[in-house]
Amino acid sequence: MYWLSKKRTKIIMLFPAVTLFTLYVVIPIFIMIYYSFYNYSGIGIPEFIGFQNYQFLLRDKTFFCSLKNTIIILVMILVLILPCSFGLALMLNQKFKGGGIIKAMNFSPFVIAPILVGLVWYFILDPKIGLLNNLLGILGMEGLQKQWIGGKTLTPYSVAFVYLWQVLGYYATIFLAGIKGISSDFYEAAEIDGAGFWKKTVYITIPLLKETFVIAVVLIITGGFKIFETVQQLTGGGPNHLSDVLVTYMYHTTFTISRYGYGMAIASVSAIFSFVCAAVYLLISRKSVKGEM
Amino acid sequence: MRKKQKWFRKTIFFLAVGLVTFLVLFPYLWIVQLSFKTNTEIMTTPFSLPEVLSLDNYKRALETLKLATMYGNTIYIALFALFISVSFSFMSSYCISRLYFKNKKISNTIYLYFVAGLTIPSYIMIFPIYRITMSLKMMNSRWSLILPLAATTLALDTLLFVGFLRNFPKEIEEAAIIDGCGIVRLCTRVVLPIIKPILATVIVFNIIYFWNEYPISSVLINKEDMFTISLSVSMFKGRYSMDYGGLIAATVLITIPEIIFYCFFQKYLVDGMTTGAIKG
Amino acid sequence: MKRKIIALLMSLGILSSCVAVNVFAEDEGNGEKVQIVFSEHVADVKTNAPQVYNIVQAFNEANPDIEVILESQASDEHTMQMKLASQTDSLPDIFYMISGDAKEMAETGALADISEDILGDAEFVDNFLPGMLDSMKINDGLYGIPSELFVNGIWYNKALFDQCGLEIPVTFEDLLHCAEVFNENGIIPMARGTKDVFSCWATWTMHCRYGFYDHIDGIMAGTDKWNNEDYLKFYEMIKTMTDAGMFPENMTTMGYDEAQQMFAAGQAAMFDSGVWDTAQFENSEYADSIGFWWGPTFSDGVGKQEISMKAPSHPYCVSAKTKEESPEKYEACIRFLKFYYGEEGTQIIVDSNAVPVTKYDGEVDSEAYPVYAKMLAAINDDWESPLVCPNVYIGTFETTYFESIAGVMNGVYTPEEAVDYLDEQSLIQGLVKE
Repeated sequence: MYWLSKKRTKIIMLFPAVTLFTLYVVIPIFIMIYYSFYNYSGIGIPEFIGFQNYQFLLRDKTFFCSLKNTIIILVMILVLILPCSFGLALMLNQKFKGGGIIKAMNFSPFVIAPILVGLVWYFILDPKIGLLNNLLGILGMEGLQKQWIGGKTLTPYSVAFVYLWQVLGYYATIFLAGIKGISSDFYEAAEIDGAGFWKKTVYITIPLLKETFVIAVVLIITGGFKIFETVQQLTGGGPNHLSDVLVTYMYHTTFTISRYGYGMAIASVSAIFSFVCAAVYLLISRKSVKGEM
Repeated sequence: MRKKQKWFRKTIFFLAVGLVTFLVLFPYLWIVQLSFKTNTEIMTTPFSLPEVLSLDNYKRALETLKLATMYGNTIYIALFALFISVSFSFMSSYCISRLYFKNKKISNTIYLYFVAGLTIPSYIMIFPIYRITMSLKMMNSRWSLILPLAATTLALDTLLFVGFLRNFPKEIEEAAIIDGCGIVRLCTRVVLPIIKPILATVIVFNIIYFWNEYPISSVLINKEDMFTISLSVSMFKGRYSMDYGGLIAATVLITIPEIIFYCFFQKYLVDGMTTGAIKG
Repeated sequence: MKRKIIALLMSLGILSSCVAVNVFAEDEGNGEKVQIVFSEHVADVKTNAPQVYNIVQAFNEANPDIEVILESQASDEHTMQMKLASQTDSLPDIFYMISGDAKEMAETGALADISEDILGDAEFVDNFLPGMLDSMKINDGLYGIPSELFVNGIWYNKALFDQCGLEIPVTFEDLLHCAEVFNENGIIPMARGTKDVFSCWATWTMHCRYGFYDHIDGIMAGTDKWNNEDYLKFYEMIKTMTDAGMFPENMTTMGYDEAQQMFAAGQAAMFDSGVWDTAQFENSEYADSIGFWWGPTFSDGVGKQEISMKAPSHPYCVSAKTKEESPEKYEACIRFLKFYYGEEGTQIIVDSNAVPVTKYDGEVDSEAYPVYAKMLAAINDDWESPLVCPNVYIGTFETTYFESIAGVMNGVYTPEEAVDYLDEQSLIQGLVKE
């Protein structure tokens, strides 16, 4: 590619995206950080208070509770989504009649407005009238009936599971696109050598999808930090903020009780966390990919 | 013996796919079933089948939503935003992943720069984007929405494009360059056809995102005739309560085109991709 | 070939949507009409605030030289947009605003002082129910008029009471006894959803029966605390209600809608809300047996126990920019407000079964609208109301206040913890003006 890489070409190709991105995404990030040093209710003039918001943050029990919940959700979805959606992608990769429709049906949870996702899962997970507990009761497994939402501890796990349901098809689509990109030459060569389905998957598909896995993990990490409507609809962050995640606590602080400055401090910390997690992962995976090649 | 085994495997396979699809689809089917119930029935007896299969919710949904206007606005915004975001991010991703940088760190930094955009939830951007829009004097125009929406998907698009381009063998492109291809021709004639699966994925994801985007749209649009489909949810919010029946009916009406769109796209662009390209 | 067809279809799609969108685009507006923008806080005004919609239509017809353009967004988005607009000096001419935020806006000069035009008109002022115009008086100026009446209380379903052989409760002890009997009979005494923390309206009236207004000024001035004897009694009372099984078990996951439907379907005997649910309940099968009650009196209460809640709700305000820069538009705004709160407006409000802030002497058909008739009767009874509703009085602190109540109900806070939390947050959020 050396012959094409004149400086002018590079700049022309990068310029539009970088400009638009900087204007509408990067500048807002700086504005967010700017306001985190102020006390502002959304009306009138902001009042400069330096690091007070951050000092308060370090002593705020609710913040740490929401951080804990966010981390629980993050770990759960990483553990659940990767194997499940990869498995689904493998299954969908086989050619069969009606394949397109099945793929679309699996993708459909992603297009439903989050407010309805919350409503439906409320009907499933509610401890009293929810489908899950009622079903367990009918099957005689009363011991397993728990407060899936609305209690003090289990809500983050339920939220992670709902998120899995929403994005299963989404990540399966990403993996599928990656799988389709693998040339069939590899598989043919392997078949000649007598490899069965599992051997092909483990020795060809998975290694060649390294980049796709990286993409998926980065998306899962950043996506997990942004889960909002699900929590709002299932429990409203309650009871009394016990099931809040970083974003819902930020929303509450900024828009419901009009403490815009503190809300932006929470947002800044949350964005930094998210970015550090994703960046560290990217750098680690980059090194290992380079090492192999 | 072999035939029996094959048949056996196939059945298990279909059962597995069927089960997964059913579990995934079940809540959605339930929503459709709920759309035929009255609001009271929805809240108090969500599990029983509707007493009367009433189309009331659909009537209300159609009355409340000016579907034609909303669809018109949403399609207009989605198409322009799609064109901008896909072309911009393709250009920059190709540059990052393929073109030669003396200092590798520059391309990595630019990449991370875009990925950082993924970490920001949309609600944070509302105030700043509003101010930017006001200072550019673009309030209440569709373009005030098109630009931020395109900008917010640049991060995801770059991530996907760069990831896939890095995975792709460069032989074809190098062959084309040796044949004397310039960069524009290279990109449009050679690269784009090869990356169809990822292009299709990016297009589908972007359209779905534009279709369903809520926070930014709710703040930048306040004239009813400029409402987009995603804002239809807010039409059912009463002072304190929610008309869930109407909302569910509206959702069914809105998600069906999205699903058809997904069906259509992945059928025509994902399958049968590189059969000729690499070998030939 | 297929690709070309797709490209063609797509360009047709773009072209047709461009055309459609232009066809539906708004009028340029006649040069002769004065146009004022009126912004409401429900997205679908026709369905959710029909009285406003009808008044705007009627006004536009009766005044061909003025056009009131109705804009609307759902409540949360509306508040956000109004705040954003105040920063960029682009507020609509007339708009609904939460009173706490409206007061802040008035202090920054974003709202127009309408005292001359409104208060100067004695006949017009007389129209209003007592105390309505005081809520938005700041420093001798008037900055808004309440959009409606905050009438909060407890709805009850007489049929269920009769079924269990119970009388409508008067005192708190009566209420607890009813709860016991209802629970034995598998009926939920009071529907409630604490997921929507704001849905505890009747409890604020109960707090007034425990001396809310005796202490709140001191608290806001820094001389008193939420952690005082009277308030503790209030929170203890809330805990007693929860312990007595007054509320549904799954109230932490239920929201306002679920609770409302629970009551409308006859699964719960009582429901804590207010006048805005009148239309809903008219349409339920229990319309004839649904009644409205101001809540229980307390034997250990503080001060007057016969307190109702008929206080002004959040205001409609006029933007200062309109008054300063467009006297024509300002005059149109005043005319509109006089129509809204005048005879014609009041009649339209009553016809839409909403409750006006102005006096209404006419008849209401109690056969056709039993619930509305009962509501109006309650409003006209002799139980006095505080001048301001507690949540309006504490402005943006209201959510934290609601959370303290919900916390005790949910069992997450003890009464002491609840008041301590309020004291702590009062300092942090600036409720206490030091």
